[in-house]
Order: sequence, then C-alpha cells, then structure tokens
Amino acid sequence: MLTYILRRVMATVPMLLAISLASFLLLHMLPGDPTTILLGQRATAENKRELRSRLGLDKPLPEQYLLYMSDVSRGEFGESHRTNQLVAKELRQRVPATIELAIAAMLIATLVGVSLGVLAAVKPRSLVDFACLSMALVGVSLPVFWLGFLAQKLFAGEMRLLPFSGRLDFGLWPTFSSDTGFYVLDALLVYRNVELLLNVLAHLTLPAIVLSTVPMALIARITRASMLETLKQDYVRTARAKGASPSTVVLKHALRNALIPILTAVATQFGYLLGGAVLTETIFGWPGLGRYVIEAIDVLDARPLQASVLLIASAFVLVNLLTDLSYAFIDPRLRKKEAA
Amino acid sequence: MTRVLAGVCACLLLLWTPACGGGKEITKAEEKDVLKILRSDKFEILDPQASSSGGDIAILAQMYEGLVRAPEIKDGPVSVPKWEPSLATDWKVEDNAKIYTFTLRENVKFHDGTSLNADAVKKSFERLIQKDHPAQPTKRPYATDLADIAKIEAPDAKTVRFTLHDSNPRFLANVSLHAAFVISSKAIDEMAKLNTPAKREKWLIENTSGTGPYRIARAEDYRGSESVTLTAFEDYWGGAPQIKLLSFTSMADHKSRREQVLAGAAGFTDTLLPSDWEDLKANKGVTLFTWDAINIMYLAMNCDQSKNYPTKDKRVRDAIAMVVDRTPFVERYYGAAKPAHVLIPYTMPFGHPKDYKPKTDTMSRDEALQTARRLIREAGVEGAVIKLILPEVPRPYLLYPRELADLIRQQLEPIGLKIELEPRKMAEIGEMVPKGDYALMLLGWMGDNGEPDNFWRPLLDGVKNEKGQWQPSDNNLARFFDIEVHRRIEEAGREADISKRDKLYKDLEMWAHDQFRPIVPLLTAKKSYAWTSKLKGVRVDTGDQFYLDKAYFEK
Repeated sequence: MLTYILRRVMATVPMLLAISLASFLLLHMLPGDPTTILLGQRATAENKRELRSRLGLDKPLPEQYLLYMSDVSRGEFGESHRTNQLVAKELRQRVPATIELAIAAMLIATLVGVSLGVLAAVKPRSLVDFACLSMALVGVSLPVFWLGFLAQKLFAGEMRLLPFSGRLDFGLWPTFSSDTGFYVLDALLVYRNVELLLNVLAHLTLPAIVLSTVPMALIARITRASMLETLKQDYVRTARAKGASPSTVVLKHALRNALIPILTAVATQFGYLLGGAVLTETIFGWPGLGRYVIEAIDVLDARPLQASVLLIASAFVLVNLLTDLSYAFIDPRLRKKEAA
Repeated sequence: MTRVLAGVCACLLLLWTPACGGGKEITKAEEKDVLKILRSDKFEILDPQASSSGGDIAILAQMYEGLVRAPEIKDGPVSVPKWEPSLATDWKVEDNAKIYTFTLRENVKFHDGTSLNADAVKKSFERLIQKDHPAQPTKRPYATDLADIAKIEAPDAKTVRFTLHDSNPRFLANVSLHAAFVISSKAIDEMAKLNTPAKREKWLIENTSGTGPYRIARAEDYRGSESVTLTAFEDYWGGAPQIKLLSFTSMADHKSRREQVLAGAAGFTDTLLPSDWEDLKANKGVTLFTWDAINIMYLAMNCDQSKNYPTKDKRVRDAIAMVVDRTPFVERYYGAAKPAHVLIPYTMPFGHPKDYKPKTDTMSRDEALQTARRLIREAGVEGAVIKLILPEVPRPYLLYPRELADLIRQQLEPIGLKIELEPRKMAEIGEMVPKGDYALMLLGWMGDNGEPDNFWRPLLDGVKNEKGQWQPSDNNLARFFDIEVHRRIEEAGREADISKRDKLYKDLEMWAHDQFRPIVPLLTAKKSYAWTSKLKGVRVDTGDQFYLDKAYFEK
C-alpha cells in the first residue's frame, strides 16, 4: 500500500513541473502590457519603463522562469504586480475561503444528493423517483448567476433572513481577525462566540446552497443509477430473504456497495470547486481563489496566476489521490488485491 | 461505528463551551456607528502617490488630504476652477504663475501624532517627484503632473513655497490631485529604512500617515481587495467624525450593489446603471445622487500617415464623423448622457465652446449620407474592412461597449465601410496605442482636475522622443500630431488669465476639428452615488470624490 502511495505521489512531481512551465510560457504569450494596467491610462513611456524594470519584466524569459521557480522552491510565489503583496500571503487568505465554501457546498450536495438518489432508486418509476429526477434536472439546468441573484433577492432582499454577500459583517465585527483563515473555525474555536459563529454561518449559507446545486444534481443521478444496479444484486436479495429490515438492506448492504461511483463524483466535483467557483464568488462577494484568478487575468498579473494554476492542479492531484486511496478503504477487495 | 461517532460528537460539544467563554476577546460594534460602503472597484494600493484606481482613491480621500481641494458639486458646473482651502488656508501666485506660496493650517495632526508643518509638505512632494527617492513608492503614475516643480522651500514652519521651471497657471489643479496628498514626515523616514517599494507600501497601509478624518487603525483592518475598515480619527482638525467606522467592501456586480442599498444592507454605493435610476429615485429609503461628470466617450480615427489604414485620409475621417448619429447612443444611457461634439466636455468649468458643432455635425441625415458616400468613393476605400477596437469591459463613460460599438458598425455600413468589432482587454489596448496598429478605437477619458489641458495634452498632443522627433503621446488614440495644435495647446496652458485661457481653448476646438478631424466625440456620461436616506452630510466634489467627515445618520 505504501509503495502504491509513494508511486502515485512521485508521479505527480513531473506533472506539476510541466504545469508550472506551461502556465509560465502561456502567460507570457498573452498579448498586452501589464504596466499599462498598473499605471493606469495616464502612464507615460518613461513610467512604464521604470515599472517594467522594477518588476523584472525586462529580464530574459528563462531568467524570469528560474527566478519564479526559486521562489516556489522556498514556498513563496513572488509578489503580485497588482497589489504589491506577497502572493503566498494573499493565497493564505483566498484558499481557506474557497475551501470553506467548497466544503459547505459539498456537504449540502452530498447529503441532499445521496438522499434524493437513494429515495429515487428505492421507488423507481414512482412519483418520488420522478420528483427526485426532476429536482436533479432543475439543479443541473439552472444557471448559477440566475439562481444566485434570485436567492439574494428573496432571502436577503425581500425576507432579510440572510446577508447578501461577503464572509462576515466586518463593520459590526471590527476587531475580528482570522487566525486560521477558516472563519467558521475561528468563530468556533478561537473566539468561541455564538453570535459571531451565527454571523459567519449566515454568510456561508446562500453561496453554499447556490454552489451545491450542480454537484447535488450530479450526485443524485449517479447515486440513483448506482443504487438501482446494486439493488438488483443477489446479496441484496439474500439480505431481504434473511428478513433484514428495508432500511438495513438499503443503507447497510446496498448503499455501501454503491459508494464507489458516488465517491468518484463527489471527489471530482470537490476538485472543481477547489479551483474556485468564479460566478458564485462574484455574485456573493466571496473572496476566494476563483475571483483571485479572474482579477489577476484582468491585469495580466503573472505571479498570482502561476501560483493559482499550480495550486489548483496540486489540489486536483491530491483529491484524486485521496479518492483512489479511499476506494481501498471502502472496498476490502481492492485492499486484498493490492496486498497480493 | 455509530456509537464511536456519537462519542466523538459528545466530546467535541463538551470541549466547545462558548457560554463559558475562554475564547479570544471580540467586540461587536453598534449599527449606528457603522457605514457599510460597497464599491464597484477594488482597493489594492493605499499609497496616494502610487495609486491610480478609483477604488483606492475613494479610501485614500478619507485618510489623506492635500493643500487644496476641489469644490463641492452644487447646481451645475462651475464657470472657473475654484480650489478650496484644505491643509493650506491661503496661497499666493507670483511671477506669472511660476511661484506658488502656501500658508499651512494650524493645529493639524497626522495619524501618527506628529504635526503638519512646511517640512512635512516639502518631504511629501519630494517623495513624489524625485525618481530615486529613498522612500520611493512602487510606482508614480502622476509624477509627470508635478514634474515642473524646480524647487520646494520651507521659509518657516507654516509656509511652503514651490518654484516651477516655467509659468504654469494649472499648478493648483495638479496640487489638488490625490497624488499630492500630504504624507507625514515621520512615515517617509520610516519607509526610507525599508529596502523595497513593496515593503514601503505595505508599511504605509499598516501605518496610515495622513491628516484625514479616518485611518486604518490596525493592520488586520486591511483585507486586500476584499474589505477595508476605517476608524474615525478623533484628533481630526475639522472635528472627530460622527460615524465611527467605515466598512468598504468591493462588489463589482451592479445588481448586487443596487439590491443591497435598496434592502438597507449597505449604506452607500457608487456607479449604478442609469436603467436603475428611476427605481432608486422612487424608493424613499434611498438617496440617489447623480451629477454631470467631466468625461468624454469618443471614436478615435488613426491619422498616422505611415500606416496603411483608410482613416489616414481626412476625407474618410470626415465621412465617418458625418454619419455617426449620437441619438441612439444617448438613448441607451436612459438620458444619463449628453451628446458631445468637441473634445472638452460641457461639464468642464471652461474651455468648452457651448452650442458649437464642427461642420460635419451640422448636416441633415440625408445630406450627410450622400456626402459621406461620395467622400468614401473619392478616397477609393469603398468596401474597405476596418477593425474597430473597443474595451472588453465597461468603463465609467462607456457603460455598454459592445452595444455602442455595434451601433457605430451599423451607422458606417451604409456609406460603404465594413466594420469588424474587436473587443480587447485594457492592458492590450494600452500596448496597441503607442504602436498605432488599428484604424478605429472606441474609448474615452475622465478628467482629473477640471483643466482642459488635462484632455488636450494626453489625447491630441505629442512629446519628443529620444531622437528629438515629435510623436503622438501614449494616450493619443488617434495617433495625431500637428505642430500648430501643439503650439496652441502650450500657449493656452501657459495663459494665466482665465478668460483668455478659456478663449484660447475654445478657439482651438473651433479650428482643430474642422481642420484635422482626428476624433468623433460621442457623449459625456453622468455618474451616480446612492446612499441610505438616513445618511446626511455627504459631500461630493467636482473631482467625483465623496467625503464623509461631516456625515451622520439621522435619528
């Protein structure tokens, strides 16, 4: 098993190197001069030359790449041209925001999606099945920006139940500072303040629900299909014949065996969400990785883009690795096969 | 398994005992002390001398102040630029606008506790204009606006004197720019100890060093482009602000900002779409403030004779100018824009020839179409395919770039020109302009300081290159340069008598367009702020900036 893990981890190194080189070269091939954006429309040629030299953009491309890789090897990613802040510091703020939102969305998507899928599979071609499938279809079809605005207008605008945007009401909590980057954890463990926790959760609710709709629909459909397949198996019939209760048959015998495709779907969707949900983050003013990338693209800010691409690729690789490893945990046959 | 999970949950619950406290201390502010501000743009660089974005300036204007400031917008545009005292209470202009002497306000404290004096002002300006200053900022986009300062003297603690290389009656306008906000002397000394401009900028964010009514009280209050919280400066010379906290959040989407202001979730926002203005006006909970801003949206036609674009022929440029109908453009702005026929917007205090239109703009539609078709035939460019470059994203003066560019395409096709639209990022446009690799470009310009020179010089003038040859300025989209136009811009810019200056600029407008026709001015767009109607005492100046030092919530 250890050899398997090591082999998988080692295989990712050249892949990440290739990604770093490709992202570096592609970004330099893009048309446009970042100094114009940074200096504004009023910039003179002299101002631009001065800035290009300060940013190191006048150096040869291989030298720029080596400088970049030397930063990366030290766990740094250089400075953002746009904000003049260290990219590593900015990522420490952005990445937890994205992970927090992605986890919340995946929790909702998995709980609701699996439940709907199981319900639909247990009573195939019934009204319940039809309702569950319709919900899944609607979830996949609804454009996120439309749903986001609708949710904002209804729950924040009309009913005033939830906040419109952001991660926290900073105006009301002026002395809040995040120790972990995860506001839920900060409120729960660092400040231990119920009112603060409720404020953080209230901010998380709408974007998480909106973001969860597409993965939820996919998970529901995959769960249904997988469960339908599993419920036809002999061992399920045997369990029923032995007098096991319907819930035991479905949840203990069938669902566990149907989990592998569901887990793959959950992991893939989670990987996508880690890449940043640009639309949701934009609508809800969520300061995550997706918005960070878009802001960097707008001004051709190379270092944040290169760092984000590397990070997103690494997250994907890690999630896939963990998924593969979890198969062995769920399915004992795979463990035995690997051991053999 | 279930029992184990239940056990873990029970342990976690026991460990987390919020009611018993034990966590880090945190205080909750009262709603009445906080103004939540949503900005359409981001806040990134909070060094007045390095910043050039609207989002940054909105925050900087609450924390820093200059020697003079722009007047408040009242009823319509002012006839002459009228600078108001800020950190300077009085000033004297001598030697044909070559020497400017400012008397500083008494009892002004910087956020770091030091007092305002002439040395601080001198040091602050030196940091902006000296290229290799030890406390050099990350960039200096406005350094050229104040590059004509030859000498700064501090004859006594309350007097600062600027001697310019040449007479410049526009100097006060440039001193009112945000780049000339005064930074404390102590802060400049501290920044000089740091070895990189980026570190200096970070230091300045964490140690706000202005004299303004608000400041960043703790390093954590700056959360990059996510949000910034400003705290009232109790020692402000104008009296401590009543609103104790300003919470700035960046929110690009206009619909979200509109909804939040309508629902009372945000107290203040900027740049709302004109199509929403009626709804906002009808809502009693919201105050909508709109004004005639100093900007222009125009179509630039490449005049570069070394390029092979049809627009290098004046007949083609005249033909295009004749057939562009501004009515649908203005309609698209729901009345929040006025057609423009000259370079200087009607909102400018002076230099705009009221009611004047170049000859191409005075023809009837039929006459214009016939004449334009003839000119295009004579120029031999019938059926020519011309690319029109436009920005991918809206600009404050160009809210609907694709739709308006498409209107131009539709209007030019009947005269035999085929227009292809090419949206580009602003960074790409910035790179294209000096090279001049395009025939048409749709863009605009926003005034900084109420001076016509701020339009003429960057947009239709030139500079000498390293070989001493004249070439169009970097922002001259039409790639147009004429030595006589340059001479007249120089002459007008140096004229100290405001009525004579006004006439020189008006004469230039009435001559240059008919003579050369490098651009088609299209419209001047209004701008907007919206805030909760409980908020009173907001001041908006002619530089489009809002101030909250006297703002309060009505009970």
